[in-house]
Amino acid sequence: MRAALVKFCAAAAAVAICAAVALLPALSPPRQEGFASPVRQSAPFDGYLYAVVQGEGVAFPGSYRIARGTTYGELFALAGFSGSSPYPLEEEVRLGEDAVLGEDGIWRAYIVV
Amino acid sequence: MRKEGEHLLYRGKRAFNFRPLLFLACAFGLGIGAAYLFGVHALWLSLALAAAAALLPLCFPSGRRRAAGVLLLALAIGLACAAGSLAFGMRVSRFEAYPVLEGEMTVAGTLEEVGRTEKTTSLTFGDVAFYTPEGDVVASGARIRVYAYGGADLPLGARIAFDAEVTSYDAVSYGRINASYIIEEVRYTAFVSQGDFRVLQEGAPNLFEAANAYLQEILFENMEEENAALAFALLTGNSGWMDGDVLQNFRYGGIAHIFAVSGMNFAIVYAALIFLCKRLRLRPWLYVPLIAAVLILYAGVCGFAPSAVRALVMCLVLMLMEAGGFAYDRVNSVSAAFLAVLLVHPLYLFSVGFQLSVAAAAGIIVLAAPASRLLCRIRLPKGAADALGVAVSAQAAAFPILIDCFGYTSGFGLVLNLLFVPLVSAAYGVLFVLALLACILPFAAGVLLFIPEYLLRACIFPVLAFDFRFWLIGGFTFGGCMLLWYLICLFLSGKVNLRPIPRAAACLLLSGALVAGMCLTNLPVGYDAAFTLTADYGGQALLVRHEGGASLVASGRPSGDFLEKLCLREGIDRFAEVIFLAPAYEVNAALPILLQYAETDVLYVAEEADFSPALFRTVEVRAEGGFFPFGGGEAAFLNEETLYWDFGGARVLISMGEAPEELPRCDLLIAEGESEALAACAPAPEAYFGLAEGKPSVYSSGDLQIGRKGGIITIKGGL
Repeated sequence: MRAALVKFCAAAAAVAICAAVALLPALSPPRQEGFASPVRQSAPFDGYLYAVVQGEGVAFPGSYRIARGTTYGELFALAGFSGSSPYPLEEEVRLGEDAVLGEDGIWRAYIVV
Repeated sequence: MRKEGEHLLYRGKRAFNFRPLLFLACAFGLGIGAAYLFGVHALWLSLALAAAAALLPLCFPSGRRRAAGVLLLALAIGLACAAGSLAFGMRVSRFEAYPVLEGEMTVAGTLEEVGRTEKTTSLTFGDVAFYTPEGDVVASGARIRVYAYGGADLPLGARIAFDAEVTSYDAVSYGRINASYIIEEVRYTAFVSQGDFRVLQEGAPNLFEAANAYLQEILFENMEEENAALAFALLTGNSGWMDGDVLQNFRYGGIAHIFAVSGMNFAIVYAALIFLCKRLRLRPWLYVPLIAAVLILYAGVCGFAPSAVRALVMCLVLMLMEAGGFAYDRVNSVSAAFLAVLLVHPLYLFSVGFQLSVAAAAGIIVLAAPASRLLCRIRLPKGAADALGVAVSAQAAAFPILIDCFGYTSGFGLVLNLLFVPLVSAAYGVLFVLALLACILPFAAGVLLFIPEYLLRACIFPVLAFDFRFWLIGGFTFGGCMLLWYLICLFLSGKVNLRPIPRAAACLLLSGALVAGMCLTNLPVGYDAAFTLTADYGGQALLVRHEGGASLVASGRPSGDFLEKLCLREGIDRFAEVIFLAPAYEVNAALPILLQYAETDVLYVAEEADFSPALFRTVEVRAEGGFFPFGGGEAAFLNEETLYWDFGGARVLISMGEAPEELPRCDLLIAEGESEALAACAPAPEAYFGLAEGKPSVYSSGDLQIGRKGGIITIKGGL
């Protein structure tokens, strides 16, 4: 019984010393908030550009809203153009060349065939 | 074969030996980690942990006495966890309570530490007073670290004044806690020129500082400068006087740890002292305090670096256990050392040096014996198997920490450590004894230091002769998967007493989870395309990989350290396209820095920039006025510091300085910080490199990954 009491007192003293060493040097209220700041934000974007197709042999001339990556061939199929194309049909509509960026942040392509 | 009464999963009486000290140390560490993530709410975890431990007797019915013991232990674990949380929260709160100061002001303080970096001298001042231009005087209990250009020979303990542009450190920046600043209470920083210091009052350094300065004086007066720098680094852990390229080569080789005063140094000093005391037949009551005093003095001379403190505590525990007649248990010893160091300062948990020390020590304890046994089975001699087992286990344990903290580790490190560490240990032992004698007998220092000088030179010859920057392992991070790695190590060790089949099954499951986790962490899974924003005090960058290679958009003056870390971490040695969003003269300075670490095919500059492409023969410089292909999309300079980038249909505006007055509409804004000019473009999502309250920022959350899929752009980061 006495041995158990001694052990208990020794353990309690050790805990008290540990707590004092850990807590006494910085006596201030603990920080309320943690530092974890996980970020997960999603937003849709309008990945389209507007292409105006005009010229001879265009069955349906007008403005088309096409997705990025659309090829000239696909665009001409929409516009019903069947003639000889000056544009490479397999290639995507080129940004910065045929399609230009407007001040409103919208890409527009003017294609005359 | 399983005998009757034996458990299906494990051999013997239990799966692992219960060690209360290990559990208490883990609970304390867990409390600190939880407080970092959840603040004061982490205290709930302590309650949950204590409750879970208290429920154990219900799951495994045993006697009343045993149940009482378990309940007491549950209470102790809960208390340890709560103490860890509170200790962390209070220390951080105290650091953050020091006033935030920014701007030009006069500073007066007492010089407490002098360190060296490659280009500057770092001076740490305590007892600081700030005199603002408005006439206010702010006295702060925190310290200021000043980087002086051109060196500064100032006396320790002196009261010194200077004018400086002061900035404050936050507790967390760029997704990492600034552990060393909080531990050292360095809240402020400034850059000052050598001539700006005014000594107000001469002072005297304290005992440790005086001993450090005296040792430095003895070494540098009696050895060649290069050798003295190496000897001083080995003895005190201060490598600031060493040649930067040599030190970097040590890092590439994975052997720079020899300059961290840690277990190896203290073990040699302790072994020498205990040998001497036992030869002199001293009693424990005499030699224990004597050796403790010497070791504490030595740790003090080393500036109480985390690795030195850990080794000191470990040595003291070992000595006390041996002197008290307790059976020495290595797991308990490391646990006690871990707990004691964290009690001294809980922020040590986030110190890389401390993490590496604990990981290496724990790795050796847990893995060295099974690794050595395995090597013996392939008929390696016992001595060689033991040495290789120790090296392999330390490397395996340190591997994920090295990868996540430095971005790389040496694939050649195992061999180098195996060859180099025993040599350096021997040289260190000789150096320590003779340097001590040289300090006691300064008139004979030249003769005494002759032998260690040439021993050291012979030791580092391979580092001087070869370039270790090859076979570097990098290009990925572990993140949370680190835990799985350590669990695999634990199951592979003999510490979990599982039968072979359950052990193999557990290892296979964990390995599968590790591979899956690593893929999720490192590959842009779930996106059509993605790019990364990264930053630290040395620079800011956007990195995108595409079919054409890797493309980089960086801020004007990225530091070499930042670019090196970026290249090594991402495993990039060649960029297909590079853009520095900065004025031409800054691009001119930044490109050569990048070329030290990675080749560059094309550098894009704005057409209006006054940039001379003839300066760089190995890089094609293209001045662009309109759209040009970049990063797998199309980009255009809006001015020297602003880029418009079409990222697969998502319009991204990247600003790293002054933005033009008129900005196009965009789907994502990436900028250094918030500004009124940029607010005009008002996109839905924004991401910043610097601090931006309530918005995604690299400063708050660490690296951000931005991906697009099916018309949705996603910003991901933090945990």
